[in-house]
Amino acid sequence: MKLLEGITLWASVAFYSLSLMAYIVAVFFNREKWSNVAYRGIFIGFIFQLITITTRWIITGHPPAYGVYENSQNKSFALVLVFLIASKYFDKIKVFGFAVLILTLITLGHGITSGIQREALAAPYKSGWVFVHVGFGQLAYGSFALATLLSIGYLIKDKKIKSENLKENSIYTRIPDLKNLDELSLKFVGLGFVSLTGMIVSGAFWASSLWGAYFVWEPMQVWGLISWLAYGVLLHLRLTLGWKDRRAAWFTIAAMVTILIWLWGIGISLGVHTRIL
Amino acid sequence: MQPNELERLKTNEPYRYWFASRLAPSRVVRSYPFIIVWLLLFNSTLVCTYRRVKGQLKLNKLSKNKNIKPQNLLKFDDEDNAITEKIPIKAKSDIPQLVNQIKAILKKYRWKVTSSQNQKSNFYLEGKKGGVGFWGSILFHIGLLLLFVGAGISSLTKYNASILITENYALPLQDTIIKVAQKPLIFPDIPGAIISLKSIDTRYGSAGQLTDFAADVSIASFNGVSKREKVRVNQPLDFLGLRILPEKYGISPLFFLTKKGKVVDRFNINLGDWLPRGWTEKGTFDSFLLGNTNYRIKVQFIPNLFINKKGKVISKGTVVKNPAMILTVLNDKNGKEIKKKLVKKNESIKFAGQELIFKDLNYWGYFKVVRDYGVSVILFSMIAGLIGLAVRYVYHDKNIWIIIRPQAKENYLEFKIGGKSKYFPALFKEELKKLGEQIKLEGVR
Repeated sequence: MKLLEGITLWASVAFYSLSLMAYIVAVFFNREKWSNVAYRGIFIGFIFQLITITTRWIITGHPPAYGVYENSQNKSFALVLVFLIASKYFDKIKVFGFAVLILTLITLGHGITSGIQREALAAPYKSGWVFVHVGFGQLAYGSFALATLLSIGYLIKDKKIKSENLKENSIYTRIPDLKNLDELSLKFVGLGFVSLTGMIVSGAFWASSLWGAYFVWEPMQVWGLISWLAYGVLLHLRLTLGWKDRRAAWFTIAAMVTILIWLWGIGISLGVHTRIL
Repeated sequence: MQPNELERLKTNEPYRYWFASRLAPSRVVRSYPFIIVWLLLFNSTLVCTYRRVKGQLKLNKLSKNKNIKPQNLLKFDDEDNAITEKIPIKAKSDIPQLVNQIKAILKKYRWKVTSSQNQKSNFYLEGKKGGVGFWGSILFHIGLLLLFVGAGISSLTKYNASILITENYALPLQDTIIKVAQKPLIFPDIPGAIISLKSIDTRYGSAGQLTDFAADVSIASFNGVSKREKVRVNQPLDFLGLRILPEKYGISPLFFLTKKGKVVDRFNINLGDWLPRGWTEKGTFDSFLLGNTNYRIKVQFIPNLFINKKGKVISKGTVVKNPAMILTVLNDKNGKEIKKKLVKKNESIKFAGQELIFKDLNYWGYFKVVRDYGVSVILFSMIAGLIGLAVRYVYHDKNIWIIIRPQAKENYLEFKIGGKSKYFPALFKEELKKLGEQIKLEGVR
């Protein structure tokens, strides 16, 4: 089992890396067919990653949600999952696989270099809520990350169009239409917001049995709330006040900063989220 | 951060303390800007709901009007985000048959379809989707309102205290209270009960992480209701509305004091908060005064005694396996050392005609006692809000209308498809095009 975990881990990294190279060929050397090769590579890498996570779950006997490595696996897995589902329905966003892979490999690299040793689950994690809470959290991360990438794509293409320098068959022509990008970004912000709410709600249930309070004003919880408010404001600006296009794209990117501070900054550096002793 | 850590930071790193104290999340979230954002969000949600309710009522009124004319549908063309596509179809089938085919296609995609015909033999179909989303929005807002109600109940009724119990002692619950963090305005008292700690069991992982912390707790109210349970992390004990949760533990050695071979006193001493991170090679010290005497006993606890080749006393890790203590008897007035000795279980230190025996190793448990009548309302409101939000996300309003006009030429129909999506018009346009193509394709068959 341990051998299988190791093999599938490196196989997923290898396929993601090869896919990234194929994307580079497709995007920068204008070879369209390599784009399809890259997309298939992501899918194979994803299957290997799924086996890695499942194997680890079986070996450790708990959902892989403990420590930097397991969380990096989850984050990258969620991002690729959201991307694959999204590209099934919106074919044109396959080109964003390039950015998704860069983010995925950085995340995985960080996790692997932090050490992949298996640890017995600390007492606070021994709860049925772990799977639900972390699952929702990672789905939120994947959705927000993809929405941010789409917004960045929007701004890049918009700038190119405004500079009237958009050549035929250039990289930018493969990026979907601006209106579609804008709406897709909104769709994933919405999905992320629902998932983030699910994470906060399941976290409240967990906290109730761990600390005797649904909310204790500790940094991770507070930043979760700040992120929720930031995306709540974004959704209201978009849906109620009709914000769209450039300013909505900038706001989406800005809101992602709260997620990065929350899940990467505070989540890793302080490690107080489940401390009881 | 613990109060002593804060004090240290204040003295050693005043600038860091200044930033930390002002930008602390607990302070930020209680600040006015934060409350204003929260209120704005609430108001905006309220406005959103109002607009949705108004819009929904308007739509209901329209659909109830049986004399609805296709011209009314065409008015949608003038609205924002409306999309129309004209697709000419050469249909082999007659119009009613084609209409039925179109209806079947639309129903396959879960459109609610209604149709009508005018005197010029023009056919009109209208489809609706996402009506459930409205109820999702309503449910979300009910959840939000309940959350505010629950928070109010919680702040008025929440009791939050910390208690300390030593193993093998049974005490009135009130007497075990160390700190009351929150005393409510309503129902300020907790029920009278006797609480005791039977045992504490802990386990650690290879990286030193606590993997299990179980406390065998027994509690009995003065009314005769009793309960005994193993309280674990994530598995609190619920008793008469109170929730008892384990927080931390420590050691409490049992000492026997003898004079002339007779036991004159037996007592437990709860040593300070040292496990599991506090222990160093030098050990963590705590001390206590021996009764009403001037003898202060300094205790250096060693969880897992090991004497190395050089004869140095060390502890192999912080997990209690082979407990021992270095006991130092001091004169409390001048701090002068009287005697020092390494003692294991059942060993003793003798001084001034008396003997202090380390008889057994017990534990103390520190628990949180909470009572919160608002928490169930809050958790229910959160679930309602989440379901509402999810429904709202999945179902959003979309309208579609199709007009089929027979042309002068035989078997030639003009087919016009239009629609409206408030939030995703560009994506909906793609969807409509695909749908139009599919209708054209299947309609020609």
